[in-house]
Amino acid sequence: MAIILNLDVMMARRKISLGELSERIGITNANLSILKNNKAKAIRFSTLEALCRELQCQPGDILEYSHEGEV
Amino acid sequence: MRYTGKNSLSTFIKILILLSGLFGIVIMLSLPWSLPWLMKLFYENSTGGLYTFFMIILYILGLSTLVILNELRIIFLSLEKSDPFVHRNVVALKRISALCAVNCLVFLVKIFVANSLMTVIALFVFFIAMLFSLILGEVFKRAVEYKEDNDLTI
Repeated sequence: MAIILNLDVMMARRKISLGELSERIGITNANLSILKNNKAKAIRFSTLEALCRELQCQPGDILEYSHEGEV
Repeated sequence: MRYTGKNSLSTFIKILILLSGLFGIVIMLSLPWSLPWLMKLFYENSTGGLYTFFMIILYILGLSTLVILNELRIIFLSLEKSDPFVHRNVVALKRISALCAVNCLVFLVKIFVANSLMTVIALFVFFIAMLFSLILGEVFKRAVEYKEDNDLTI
């Protein structure tokens, strides 16, 4: 995937666990894990909005474009 | 009436398919004894060659139909679990289509050797079933892709 989600980096910066974040943004632990491990195919604006709200960051802080993974 | 899930119409059809399969196995096993009796009933002036021919085509048709029933059972099993959009069902439908084509060919050969109205009808039915399952397999493939996309959209 050319788009990388740096969720783990941001979570470590904010010192928040997977369980706590999933509870705060209202998605399951399993789904947040899919996002964290870059297994997701797409992300809803509502999820991105909730992530940015809880992690107090911009979408650009979480999302990154990489040339290496390009198909 | 419930169509999918436990104790639904899918469960009933799954059991029906299982019973049909068992009945088919019994018929196939009894062929060496039942075929001469049936041939006497329908083809009074039959030859030994025709007996061998019937034996071969009935075993081919029987085996392929048993596999078709098993694939249908797998599809209805997934319906019972309320999760029909899986890759295994696409494979099952493709296999059903291929086996219907085999049955079509067998009936086509039978038309030239020992034709009857039922042979033409069976050929037509398997031809339609072949096309139907081929298209349905492709539709299922799309559905599985959409489901995977939906499941991985967080």
